[in-house]
Amino acid sequence: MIFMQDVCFSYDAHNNILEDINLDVKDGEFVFIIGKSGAGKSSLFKLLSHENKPTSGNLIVNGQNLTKLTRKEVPYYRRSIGMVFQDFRLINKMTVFNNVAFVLRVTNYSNRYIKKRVPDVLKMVNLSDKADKFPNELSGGEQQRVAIARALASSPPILIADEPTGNIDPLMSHQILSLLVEINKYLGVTILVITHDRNLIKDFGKRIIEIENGRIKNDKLIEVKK
Amino acid sequence: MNFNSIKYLFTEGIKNLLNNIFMALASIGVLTACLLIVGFSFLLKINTKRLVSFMGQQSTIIIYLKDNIEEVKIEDLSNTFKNNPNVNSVEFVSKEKALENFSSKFNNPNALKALTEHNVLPASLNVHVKDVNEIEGLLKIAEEEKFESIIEETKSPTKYTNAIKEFNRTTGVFGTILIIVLIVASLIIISNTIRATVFARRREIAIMKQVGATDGFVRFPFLVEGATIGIISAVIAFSLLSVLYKTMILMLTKYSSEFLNLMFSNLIGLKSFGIMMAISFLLCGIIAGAVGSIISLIRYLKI
Repeated sequence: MIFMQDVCFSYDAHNNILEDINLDVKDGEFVFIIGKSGAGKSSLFKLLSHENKPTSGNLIVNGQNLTKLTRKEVPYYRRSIGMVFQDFRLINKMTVFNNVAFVLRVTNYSNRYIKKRVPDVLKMVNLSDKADKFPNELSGGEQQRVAIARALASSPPILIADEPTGNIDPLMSHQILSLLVEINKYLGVTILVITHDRNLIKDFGKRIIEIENGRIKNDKLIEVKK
Repeated sequence: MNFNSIKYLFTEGIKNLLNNIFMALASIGVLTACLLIVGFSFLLKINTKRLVSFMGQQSTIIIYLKDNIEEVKIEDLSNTFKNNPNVNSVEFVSKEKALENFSSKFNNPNALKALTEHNVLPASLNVHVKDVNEIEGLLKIAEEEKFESIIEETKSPTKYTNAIKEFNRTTGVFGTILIIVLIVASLIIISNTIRATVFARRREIAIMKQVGATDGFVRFPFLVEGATIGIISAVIAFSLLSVLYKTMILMLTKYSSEFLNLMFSNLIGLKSFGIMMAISFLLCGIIAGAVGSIISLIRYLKI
């Protein structure tokens, strides 16, 4: 599903932000990517969202080689992955319903489908009763759930989340991660969660890839302590 | 892009325009002024051309002849002009006819008596020219050596027609420069207006791009905004131009002499250019609006 081979990325010729990243994420897997600030986690996210291109190496997502993607192909690639951001990136003047519908409108779905699909995904994230609210009327955790609903609206096979708990309190953070784990378990969506919070993820018993100074330091499956 | 998307994007474009109404009104004002000036420059250009051509048809070279010359020589001179393809007709005015014409214009018995006793008015050949541009060439014929002994003096409307031609040339150059400057100015103003909307919605644009919107989809509402500004400007400019032009022609023909009236009747009528100009205005407006919006979006699409 996600395959990286000797991926390097740098903004200039001298300082590599990411170096020799080799990674293989299978279909339906749940992976945490952890590391300190400046380790290169967000750069990795930007490679996967195709905001940046690898300087060298191969990056294949969902069968598409991102190093060879043309400008015209980028929107279609992005439709195949759901993205969740630390700052939610909701449109404040739109209701919850319209924020979720927005991604479907952008990708040319019919009104009939939008009217059916949006309540379904809002139900999935437990926000059916908030459809007519505006983002400013919701808590941080609820806003992030709207963002997750939006990311899931077009049924992408992959979901990438960049610090999804960065702006919310610990209790709510745990709920958000639990929601992502459930989505992975019941919908089979491949999920990559980038975070700096080690303590938060230790209870989930998932594969954890640690990045340090732009390189993969550890890649292991953590067993849940019963 | 399906019908739902187009409807949604069109509505978004109109919403953009209404949310940014003051800047939009400023753009409409500038673009209307541009289109009006472009329209008037076009009419000026066409009409001066028509007037020059009209003056050409009216233009007559008068060749005053010396007294007591043989008829054969006059015939020779007359035939030279008659055979010239740029001459409509040649009319011989004898000394007697010249006096008669003069008398009919001036009703002063004493002066007439003096003139009749000794007719000082010369005979002449009136050469009616087809095209004002050929006058210079025809005058050169009159200056030929063989006619020197029979020609007293020549008079032509060259100065007058040259002035119109010079005016035509100057307005042409000036008009073109003015039109280019105004087109650039309106593009800058429209793109700035739309840039204000783009800036206000930059977050939305970034989100659109991140969730997989194509550049065309992101651009569409802004194109609608730009094109709407263009269409409104075109409609206002064309309406104003029609009213002003009609009024101008009415005033010119109402308060001018018979000759000027005849001259102004040659001005192009609204019916002849109306549809063509309305379509051109609409196209110019839409293109200016669309180009302006594309310019303002360039940097925000690089995500």
